[in-house]
Amino acid sequence: MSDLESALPPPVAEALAHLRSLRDGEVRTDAIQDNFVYVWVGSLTKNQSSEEPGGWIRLPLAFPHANPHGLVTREALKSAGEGNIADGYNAGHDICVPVRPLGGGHYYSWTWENAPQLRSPQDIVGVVQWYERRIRKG
Amino acid sequence: MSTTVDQNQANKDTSRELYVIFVGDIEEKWREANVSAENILLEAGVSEPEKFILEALDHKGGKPVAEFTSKDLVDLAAKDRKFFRVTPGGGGRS
Repeated sequence: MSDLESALPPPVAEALAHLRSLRDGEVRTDAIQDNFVYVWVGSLTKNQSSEEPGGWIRLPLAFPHANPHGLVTREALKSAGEGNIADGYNAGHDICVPVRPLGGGHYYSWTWENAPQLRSPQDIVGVVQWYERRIRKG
Repeated sequence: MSTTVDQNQANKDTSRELYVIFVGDIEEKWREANVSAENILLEAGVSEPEKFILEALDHKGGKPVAEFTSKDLVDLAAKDRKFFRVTPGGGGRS
């Protein structure tokens, strides 16, 4: 366990363990900034086969009592059709700074608005799927 | 008439036909091909189906190939309607 991960609140640590067990064994914590954990999910699927999967989900330290907010990627996300995803897109935003040394440079300010209330650490799997759908919908 | 009997038998067999699907690891069996996504979600234990999306996968643990809101009908006889996953709906941006 990394030093970063050992500092996580138990529900967040439990969520990451659950995600590793059910979805992606390579999930890791790369940064903590402003009460958000930058969780690298290497299996996060994108729209085009030319795109490398993966991205940093911004998970609140208070998860599941607070909601995820935003996604950081290494490359700008391509849409399912033509061009790139423009919804909530911010190139080079300050939010990327904690993972910039790892290549993070593109921020999508997506919020959990109108999504169902999160109730348990196990909801993390649905959160990742929600991000994938968000990417699909552009 | 034997034809009638045969037809009745055929109908009986058809009525026994089950569509077995998986929502995550949860197995569901449906007698009819067209089922509301709401009922599939409810059967899977989703208490607020209107807030979730039912995604059809190309194989178990595979990628989504279609999605249904709780108001949609799902044709379980169609291709890629064996494996599903439940994904939260909604979302905005700041």
